[in-house]
Amino acid sequence: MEILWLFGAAFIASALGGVLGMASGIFIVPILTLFFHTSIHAAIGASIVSVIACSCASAAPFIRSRLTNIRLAILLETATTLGALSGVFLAGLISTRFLYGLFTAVLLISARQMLARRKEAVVDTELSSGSLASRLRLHASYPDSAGAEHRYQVGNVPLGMSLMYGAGLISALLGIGSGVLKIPAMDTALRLPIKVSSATSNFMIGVTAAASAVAWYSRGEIEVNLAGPVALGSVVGALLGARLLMWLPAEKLRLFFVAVLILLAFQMLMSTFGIHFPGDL
Amino acid sequence: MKHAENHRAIALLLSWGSTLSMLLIAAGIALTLWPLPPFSGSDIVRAGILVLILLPVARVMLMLAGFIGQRDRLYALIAVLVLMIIATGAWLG
Repeated sequence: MEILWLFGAAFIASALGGVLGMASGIFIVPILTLFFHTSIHAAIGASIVSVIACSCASAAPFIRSRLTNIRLAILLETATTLGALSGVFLAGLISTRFLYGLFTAVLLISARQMLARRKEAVVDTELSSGSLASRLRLHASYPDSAGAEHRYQVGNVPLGMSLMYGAGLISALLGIGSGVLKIPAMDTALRLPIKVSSATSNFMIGVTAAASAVAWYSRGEIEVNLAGPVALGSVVGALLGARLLMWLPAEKLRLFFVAVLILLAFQMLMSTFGIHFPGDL
Repeated sequence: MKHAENHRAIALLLSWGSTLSMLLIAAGIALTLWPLPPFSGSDIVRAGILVLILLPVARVMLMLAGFIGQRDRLYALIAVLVLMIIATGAWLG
């Protein structure tokens, strides 16, 4: 019966997240460790699988509407997968306590990002033909809903790559998509239009997560009966739930999520110091 | 136009691949709840998870094929690099 609870929990987290256009990956590990009492390593393994599932299942419409910048994605994926590889090796050296602490920090950053809404980057630069982004032919355009083409330029590639390395590292260590870290990198360093940055980040998350999932799998650290229902629940929740729940007031839901993130951060902080509650569910 | 066609292939691969893996996982879960020997529910779930993990890798391979088709050496090389990094993780993992 636990399978159905796992499916249900992932479904609800993903459906609610979908209303705000937010990935549910960050909720999976706290849900599994706090309510299902799995080890944090088992939770991370299950979570990373559901992160791949959500990225792959939602990518197609973005690619078809040409919002995904394919070249930029594969370039940045060298950095995110290298980061993920480093995370896999670091994971053996890092204590469970540190993982809980790191997760607490990422939950708080997410809460803060959820409160402060993203602003469109101001494009103030002229086409600089000498920049690395120009030489790598990264500038592109995308069509809006009216069919008009919007050209955009890609900003600071070296800075973007270093931030992506960090995002890949955190993704592997914590089993999250770490969109929360990719988005500032894309907004501030690369200065992409919001739609392009969301689509491209979502596209890259799958490969980044696969880089660590492949390693966890070959180590035998992915528990099939945990990862399966969680991945299925997340995908079905993202596809169906968001549509069913569109009537929910987005502003109130946003505040609710901020509260949940802070609460989960508090719980994870307690776990950092070895205090566990709420006990059994 | 070759460019756009490769994009379409990538979109198709990801949507069909994720649908296949979700169906396998769902079937596996159903068999775990209502066993039907000789099938093993968790083996089928495992197969679904494997499809899922390998799907992004297949996606990079497809992109590599696209770059080769466009004679885009630089980006073909970048795609090979990503594949090598992932393979290193699997091998040393």
